[in-house]
Amino acid sequence: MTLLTDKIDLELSAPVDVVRRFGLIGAQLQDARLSGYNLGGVNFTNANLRGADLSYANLRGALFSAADLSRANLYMADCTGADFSAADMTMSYGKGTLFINSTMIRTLLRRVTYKNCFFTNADLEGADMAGGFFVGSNFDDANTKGIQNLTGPHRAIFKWYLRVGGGPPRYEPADGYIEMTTSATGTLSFQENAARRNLT
Amino acid sequence: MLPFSLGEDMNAEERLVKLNNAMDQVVVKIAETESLLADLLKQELFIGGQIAEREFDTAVPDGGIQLPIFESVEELQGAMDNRGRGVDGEDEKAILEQRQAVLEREAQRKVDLINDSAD
Repeated sequence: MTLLTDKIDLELSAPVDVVRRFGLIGAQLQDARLSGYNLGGVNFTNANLRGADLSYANLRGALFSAADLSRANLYMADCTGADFSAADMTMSYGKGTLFINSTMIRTLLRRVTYKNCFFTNADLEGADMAGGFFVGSNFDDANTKGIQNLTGPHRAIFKWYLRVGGGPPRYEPADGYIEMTTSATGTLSFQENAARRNLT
Repeated sequence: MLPFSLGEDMNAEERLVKLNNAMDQVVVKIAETESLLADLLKQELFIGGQIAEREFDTAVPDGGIQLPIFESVEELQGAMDNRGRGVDGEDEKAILEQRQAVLEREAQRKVDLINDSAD
């Protein structure tokens, strides 16, 4: 009788290249701590990466087709050339994240926060950006055909308007407000809306 | 005992010729025996293979699924209530959680392997 642990060792004894290409398809990596990991070119197709910490990770050319990245943390991650087609990135977070040349066809980007990120030359055809927050992100040369919720009640936010004397930002232009097209804190990350918390 | 005489009654020359002839015959016999042995070994392997094949064909399949037989409605009801549980009555949810933990550990190990190899 083959024990499960034997099987795992058998799979792990395969060359790393094989594990990289086939070993993590549909993998269970919920809430995994992968900060700063070097995972370039890894195939995460259909994997469960809910709430995974991928900050500072190298994900160049990785495959995330149909993967679940909801609530994942992609802060400062390098996803250049990665494939997120049909992935669920709902409520994921990123600042200074590189999505250059990445494929994001029909990716769910609902209620995400991606400030000062680079979607340069990315393919975002049919992606859903409902309620997404993209202040300061760069979309130069990106394919934005058929992106959902660029307008309407659940539209994505690309600019915000701050009052000169201070106060909460607005998402529509108004008198006395100046347009902000970039996040003033750059790639530095802070707890958002901290002032709303009771400090007691 | 040899099947021919060694020619004790002959003179030395005749005897030498006869012994040389006898030696040639022995060499031929050895060669024939070796080839027969090789044939027999081949046959043994062939027949052994056929026996193994036959045993495989006629083997009785083990562990067929036994459908449960219920003696009463209560017993059937009890079995219905226990559906989705293991042999020892353990909860399916607990089994799934256990499996999930194994899968997560396995995935983490693979990711670590890739990360370590990249350094």
